[in-house]
Amino acid sequence: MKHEKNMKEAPPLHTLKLRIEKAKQAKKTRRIQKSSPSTTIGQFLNVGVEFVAGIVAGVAGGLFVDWMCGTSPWGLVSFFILGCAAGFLNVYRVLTKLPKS
Amino acid sequence: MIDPLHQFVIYPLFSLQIKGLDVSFTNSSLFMVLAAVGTVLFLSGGFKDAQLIPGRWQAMVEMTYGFVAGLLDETAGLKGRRYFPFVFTLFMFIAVGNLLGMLPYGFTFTSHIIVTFGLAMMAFGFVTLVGFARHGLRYFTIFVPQSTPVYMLPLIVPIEILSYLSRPISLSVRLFANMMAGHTMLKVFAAFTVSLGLFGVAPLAINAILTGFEILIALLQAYVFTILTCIYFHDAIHLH
Repeated sequence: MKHEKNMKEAPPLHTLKLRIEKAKQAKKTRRIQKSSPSTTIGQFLNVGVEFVAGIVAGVAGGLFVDWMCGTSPWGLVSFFILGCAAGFLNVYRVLTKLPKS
Repeated sequence: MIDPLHQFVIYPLFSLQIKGLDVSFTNSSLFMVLAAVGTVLFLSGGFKDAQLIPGRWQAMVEMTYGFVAGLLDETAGLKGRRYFPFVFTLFMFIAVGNLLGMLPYGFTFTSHIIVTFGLAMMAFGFVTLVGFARHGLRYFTIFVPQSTPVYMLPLIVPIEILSYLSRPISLSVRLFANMMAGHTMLKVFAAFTVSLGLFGVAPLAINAILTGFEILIALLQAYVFTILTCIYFHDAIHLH
């Protein structure tokens, strides 16, 4: 029988764990070599959204502060600028924290 | 002319009013239920008679599980494993919901910003709760980056707070915009096919390619939503 013949030729079972580890390691190194430093997910991440979200949060916060304290328009103006900064921070954070694979 | 935005219309299947509040069961609700039921069927069906050497279906379930588990380990670290059920549920719900939207006569509930914003707020709220549960009031130091000079704090802290608050906005807008834009584009090209008659073969060919591309986007956006949630978990667990 072909099947039994294969069984006989296979290495002993107690080395199985070792072989699995070896194969996993090989797969891992292959994956690291294959991936380039430029992020492939990055294209689909729409980083621009991250920037806009910062501004939206800033404007919403500014309008809220103006509404609470009646400081219109200074809350909106200052929080808009802070929101832009937060947008830049968002973009930087997301791009630097992506896994390298 | 066919309205390419008509596919996003929500209509009630069963009207239901509770104290003047409209809680009708809509087509959107129907597809959310289908997504949840589909996920359960997919996962439990694969393990109905589980083998040591998995068959096709079981392998698919195991690969999905392994994929999300690996993602969580890689981005949030080993301490993030406790939150695997939440992350996996989020991924499956969005992925299955997006894919259901690709079926003819389907409805994509992720193409509505209120749905994605709800999901994003859930992720955001849960991550914040985890942060406070793990660190108590010390969690507020997430707004103070390491080695910031004291005189910079009045400027840095508001920026950090705004950046933190913008997380659910960016999460929800990204998913919503991708799904809505993609499905609108499919419908626009389909309308060209109808109105061009014999020459409609060209937009039809483009649509065939776009459909495949949309399936890629559907899975990728679920992946992006999940990976960003994992990154937020990392921040909440490790505080920088």
